[in-house]
Amino acid sequence: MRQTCLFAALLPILLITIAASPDPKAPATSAQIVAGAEKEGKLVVYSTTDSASAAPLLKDFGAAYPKIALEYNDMNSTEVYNRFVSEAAAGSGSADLLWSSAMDLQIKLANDGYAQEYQTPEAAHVPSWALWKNEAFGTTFEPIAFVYNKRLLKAEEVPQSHADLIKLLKANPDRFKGKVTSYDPERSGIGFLLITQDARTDPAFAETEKTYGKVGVKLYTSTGAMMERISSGEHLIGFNMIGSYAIAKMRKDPALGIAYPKDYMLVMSRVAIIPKAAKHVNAAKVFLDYLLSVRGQEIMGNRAALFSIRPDVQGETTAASLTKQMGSSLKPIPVSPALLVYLDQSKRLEFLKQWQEALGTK
Amino acid sequence: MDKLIVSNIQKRLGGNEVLKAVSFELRRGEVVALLGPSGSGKTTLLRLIAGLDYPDAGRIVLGEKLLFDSESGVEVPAERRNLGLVFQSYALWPHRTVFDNVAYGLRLRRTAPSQTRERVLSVLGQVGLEGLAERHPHQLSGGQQQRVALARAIVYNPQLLLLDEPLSNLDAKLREEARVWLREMIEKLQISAVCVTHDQIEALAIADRVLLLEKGRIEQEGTPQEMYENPRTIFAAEFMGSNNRLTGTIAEIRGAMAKISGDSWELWGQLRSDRRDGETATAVIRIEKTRVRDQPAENALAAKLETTLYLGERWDYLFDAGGQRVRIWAPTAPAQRPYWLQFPSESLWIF
Amino acid sequence: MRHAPQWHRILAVLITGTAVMLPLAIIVYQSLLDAPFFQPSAKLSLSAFRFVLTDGDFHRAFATTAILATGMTAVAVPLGAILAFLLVRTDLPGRNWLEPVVLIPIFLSPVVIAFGYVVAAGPVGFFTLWAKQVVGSAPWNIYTLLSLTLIAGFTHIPYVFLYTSSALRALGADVEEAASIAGAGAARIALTVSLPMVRPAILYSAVLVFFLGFEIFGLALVLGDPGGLLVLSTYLYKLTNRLGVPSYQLMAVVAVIIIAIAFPLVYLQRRLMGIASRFVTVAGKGFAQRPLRLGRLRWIAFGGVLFWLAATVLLPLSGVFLRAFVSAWGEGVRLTEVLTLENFRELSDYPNLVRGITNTLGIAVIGGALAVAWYAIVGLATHRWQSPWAKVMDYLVMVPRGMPGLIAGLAFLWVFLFVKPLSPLRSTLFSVWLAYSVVWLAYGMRLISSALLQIQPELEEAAAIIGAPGARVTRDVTVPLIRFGLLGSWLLVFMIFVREYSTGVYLLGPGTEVIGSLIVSLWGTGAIDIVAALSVVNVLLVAAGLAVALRLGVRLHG
Repeated sequence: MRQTCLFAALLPILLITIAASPDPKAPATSAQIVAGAEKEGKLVVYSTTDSASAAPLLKDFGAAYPKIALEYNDMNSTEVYNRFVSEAAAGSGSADLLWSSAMDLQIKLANDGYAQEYQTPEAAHVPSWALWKNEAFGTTFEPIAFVYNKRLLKAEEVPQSHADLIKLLKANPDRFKGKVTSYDPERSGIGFLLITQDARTDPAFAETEKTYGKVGVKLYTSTGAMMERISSGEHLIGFNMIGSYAIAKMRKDPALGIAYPKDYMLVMSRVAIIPKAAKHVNAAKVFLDYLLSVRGQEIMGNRAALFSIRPDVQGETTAASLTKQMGSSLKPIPVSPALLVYLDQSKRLEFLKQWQEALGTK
Repeated sequence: MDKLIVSNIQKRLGGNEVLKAVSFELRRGEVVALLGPSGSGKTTLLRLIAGLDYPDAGRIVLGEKLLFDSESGVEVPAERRNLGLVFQSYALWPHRTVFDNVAYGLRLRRTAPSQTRERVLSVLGQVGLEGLAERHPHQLSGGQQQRVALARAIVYNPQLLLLDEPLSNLDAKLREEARVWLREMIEKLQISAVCVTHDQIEALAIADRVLLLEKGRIEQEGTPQEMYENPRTIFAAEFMGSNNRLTGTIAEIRGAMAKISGDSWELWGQLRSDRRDGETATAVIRIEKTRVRDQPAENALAAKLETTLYLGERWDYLFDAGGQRVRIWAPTAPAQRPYWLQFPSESLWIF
Repeated sequence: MRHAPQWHRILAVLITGTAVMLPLAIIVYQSLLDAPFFQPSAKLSLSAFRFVLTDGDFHRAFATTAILATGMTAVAVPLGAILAFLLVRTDLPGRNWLEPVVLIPIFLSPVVIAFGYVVAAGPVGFFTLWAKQVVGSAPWNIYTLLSLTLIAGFTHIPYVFLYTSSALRALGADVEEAASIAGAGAARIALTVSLPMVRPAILYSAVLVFFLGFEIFGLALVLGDPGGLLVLSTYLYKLTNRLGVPSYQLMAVVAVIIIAIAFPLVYLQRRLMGIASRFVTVAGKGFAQRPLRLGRLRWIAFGGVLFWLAATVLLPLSGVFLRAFVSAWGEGVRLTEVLTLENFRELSDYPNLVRGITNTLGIAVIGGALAVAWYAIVGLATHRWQSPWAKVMDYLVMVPRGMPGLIAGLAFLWVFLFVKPLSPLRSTLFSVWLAYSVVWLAYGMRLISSALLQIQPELEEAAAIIGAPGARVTRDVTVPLIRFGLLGSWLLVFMIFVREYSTGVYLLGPGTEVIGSLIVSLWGTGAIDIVAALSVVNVLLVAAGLAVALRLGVRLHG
């Protein structure tokens, strides 16, 4: 009887305590900022993450913060840059948050003074290479992998590393002639970024380049064009493919296979910045925190097929699972001004010149 | 209206002087024909009177209203001149019924619908098209379309009716009937009219006065009879009527008469130009005035019958007289006999 | 006919001129700077011109584009003209349902059509694989300049068809009947009477198609990339990334060069057209037209048309349709194993799909009608107007289409950003509508102005003499007589607006997304199967709309 009474007395306290304790998954945004955001009532985002992939995130954000009306504009990375820069110059209304996979352009915007500083409470949970000066924030951990045609490439042939790929191509030049594909560094920003990272990381890069040239590598600007052609068999294998898109497509298309190179695997991150001139600053901060919170990252890591970056989030497509699988071969591209090196025109053109010479196309 | 006064109209089109200081007057109830070959400027003149284009210089007055004056810069546009115009192609609006085509002018003038209806049907009756009001133009014959065009032009009682080659689109048989009908209609309506035509018979039949235009100038002006029987220039003589033409040299001049001679012939005629002794000249005579003789006569030439044409109502004889070609109209078939052609000197004009 | 100084005409010209000159001026100005024009540090300089004009890639792209444009005009014009003659003037069987089918390539996104060809006739396309199986070889390669030119020609036939057919419909029957009596068969009549009489329409559509060749992008992207072909618009695409940061001055230079081509083109076209009044054929008398009998040629012609349809419409469409209904395709795939409706299911889950479709149809139907109204006003303003203004308009209207989509989008963003009075309109659909309408000005206006040219002046003069002032003549006589030209123009504009995207890309936002933006968004992730499904829906919707309109009596001809 006494125990029951104790329990009954304690129960309300217990319940209140449970109700009042903060949800460990929710973003740790300060109440002040949240209140400010709700007063602002609106948030404008320019993003390169397509609406379909982002849908689970956006829906959840809407459930978490019903008072903030989210205007989500998805466009490609050049369009994000062009639109933002033009609007900023005109002093006209623009985005409150830019979320783009063009890491170098995002850093450039921050470096040029467009981004505002925000000490996000979630910063502690994001690896340090993904943060720059509290102005640019990497939000995902996306593997850059090989994608191949399962029907036409036997399981034992699938290269498990960059060196493997080069060996395979050298051994079967006729079979792979015109059947290898990737982004065109000249016409695709992400393509350029990944190739220059390869140049930095791959010890045998000069040889790699030449081999690509010998098999007449087919270079495109769109993920769709490449994956479609790999799936149909027009091409056999693609390198420097963005893992999140491939995995999303693989869920429906049995013809595609993905291989993570074990010698080194580049990892890219979609970078978010909050412009200084953002009209709804607090809402932007809330969204940024949400992206980096456990709640948001869990969705990325599971439903959305974007790769979450927080080490403490578990799921199918997460940094945690990749780290377990690949360990030290993971080479994340740091969110840092090092990315600006190749935005220098002469350096860029020089690299492209040597790339084309190596390919034998110039 | 009292008068249409057109004075000193000049007009250039595409670098050519199409009208060179043309002037004429039209009195109330008169019908004037602007007659001339193509390029004479007659249609241009009509369009200038209509207001579809403006002269480079000159003056146009209708009654008390100044329509155009190059000196004071007055330019009244076509829609404010209150004239009627029948186009050569009729220009009926294909997307409207006959009734709507004709009623348009009244509706523009805000006539009450009942009155409009009355007027339109009355005018259609006047032109003989009762019952066709609900047809569309493509359902009518050429002659019917012409009448609709006329009805449309007169329904709002314009001060002046302009007609651009009204009969040229009709076939020959219809044209003859239409000629009569048109003249009667104009008289009945007591309307003043300016009619452009290249057909001299049409001009003679319809008009009270004829203006003969050539290369932008008025060659001669007068009643049909004057124009036909008293041409003042060779152009006027040859344009009106069907003629025989002889070329030769002036051999002698006696007052108002002159003798013209060729290789083997000579004739006396009326001298109508300032040709002098020894100059080449042309003698013109109406075909119907040229007479056929079976023996030599005064002012006659021996002639050889070359060809004959049967035209139903008459025969055409073609002769060779003194090396010149002469045509005669005859009521009967030709007979084999010697021929002389007489050119009565009062009818032979020498230019 | 003389008119009093017509201020409303001048006003129409001025407004249109401003709408055209605003984006143009920004582009030209930008091309003469060394940095984005809104950067305070930008200086006047010819460095951009120097860069582009000395760039080997530019020479390559220009040469390829010139060949492409010429080739596709050479393909599209004769085929389109003959097709127009067959469907409009003869008793070809099935000509009623053939007409909407012929127009399909206009309202399909070029990227989708190109991919349709890849799926159907690409290296592992189903038709290619089938041919390899049955005949032993498939000797074609769709990634060559020749194939690209042919396909570009085929997909532009509908333009030539529309312009030529509307002119042919207004032809009086007597000229053809005269030839018929003299003993000429249908083919000879076509070549020696009918088509020469619509020479202005054919010439003008040749100029328009040639010009379109310079801004071809989607086709070249999908079909040119594998073979390394570069055209001006994909070269432009290159420029946006080659230097890392999009360099607007270089892009502007390319646009300026293409725009400059418009001027000799229009001049040439004016010279070739001669005096417009020579071709006046709508007189007061309208004789009903009877179709010419094809006689023995009837079924041959029909077969020919079907074959053409198969190559230019059925082939890519079947590729698109197939892609929409399978989960995988290509070498080693058995079609029966991969059929699925999954793509459509995914499509229906796509956020904002329905909104995108309704927006597109809204812009196309209503926006199209408004655009046609504007084109009609401009056409009427320059109708029979002897004035240098009218001549200027001829050049002005062509110019906007010289901007490839990539830069047109930027130009219009800048117009609405930096021309302060217009800024409040930026986020409305008006800005999108304006961008679309300006860019397609020459194309929509052409159907109207050719209809206007064919009106016999006396029909309008008659109204004036009777007392109608200028505006009433327009309302009561001119407009009713061009109603089929207006309808034809609206149809063309509708189809173009359905598939348009890049021109308004920076002016669209959530709430105003269109099918084009959905396609691009999906494409970016590689979801070509959903793109195919969306295109199938697109085709069915537009075709259904066309069918309904035609049933309800919206006739394209008198």
